[in-house]
Amino acid sequence: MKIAWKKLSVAEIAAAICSHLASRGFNAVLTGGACVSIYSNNVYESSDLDFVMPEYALDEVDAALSEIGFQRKKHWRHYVNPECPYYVEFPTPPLAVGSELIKQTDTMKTGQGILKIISPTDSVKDRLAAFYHWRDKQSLEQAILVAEMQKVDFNEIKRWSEVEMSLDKYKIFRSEYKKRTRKKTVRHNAKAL
Amino acid sequence: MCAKIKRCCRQDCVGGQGGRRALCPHYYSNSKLYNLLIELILFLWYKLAMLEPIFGNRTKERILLYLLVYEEGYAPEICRLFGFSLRPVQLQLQNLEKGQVIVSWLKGRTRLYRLNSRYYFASELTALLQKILGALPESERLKYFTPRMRPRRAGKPL
Repeated sequence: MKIAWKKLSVAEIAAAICSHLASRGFNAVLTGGACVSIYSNNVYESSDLDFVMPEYALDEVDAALSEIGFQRKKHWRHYVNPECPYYVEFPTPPLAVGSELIKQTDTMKTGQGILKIISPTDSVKDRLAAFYHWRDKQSLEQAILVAEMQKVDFNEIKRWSEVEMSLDKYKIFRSEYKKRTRKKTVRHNAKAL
Repeated sequence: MCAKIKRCCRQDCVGGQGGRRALCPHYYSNSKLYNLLIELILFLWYKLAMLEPIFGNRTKERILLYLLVYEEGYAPEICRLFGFSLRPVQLQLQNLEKGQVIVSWLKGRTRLYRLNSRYYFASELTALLQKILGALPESERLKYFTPRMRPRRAGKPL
């Protein structure tokens, strides 16, 4: 199968890979930074596509991905296709954010097939996990970006933050988010006047 | 009975090479001290590598315990403490990182490792390691897993 990778958007590339894996019997769900790219309409750009699969053998995935031009670096989980601007990675299962499993995922229809992806709320949690555990400010920015551009369940994020014992950091996220949305509203009102 | 080796009770013993006691193959196996020593070594070995069947090897168990106690570390530092060679430690660190059990980042030119608190089984792994730590002999715990956290002024004699 010949795919013009460079002409496709990140969602289409992920969908092409996800659909191809599904056709070979692999149930892959997109997670990580690529979800932020998709949910923020590429305001944030990720360079890798992280797919989590419940159980798999990399040798079998090797064969499936080589059919669409992706080769794995020796002993690693990265798959590279010189024609594709993104590399593919398979983080260790299970599909989880922090200490909680992700049980429901979303699907997205694209011209290249169907993409299984974590929900915007789970994407925010995924980014916040990096902020909570590694104090990564970039991940906080990404979480705010997704929350600004997508509909997310703040009550659920708050409940999860309590489980992760990071309610103090959740408050930082919430106040930063409010500051941004307030600024946007002021700018919008000024334009209207 | 072996003529030259008084403590050997084997009927068929002909003594060690040249009839010397130290080389008699049965001398040590009959010694109470030897048996005690073997028991002690086995006890320490099992105590020190209690979860070898799970972790696969002792190096990995030690690395995880190290990262639990010291919070972060780099390969040569871990090698120095336990007297391991660098290569096996580096390989185990790479394997653990590949499995997302630990994470690493560069600080200057040093790659520092830390237990991955985002790992799905992080709390269970920490609890298991804490249990191993609690079951270690006091002497081992003091020798390897009681870090000095106080600052030490540069140039101060040890």
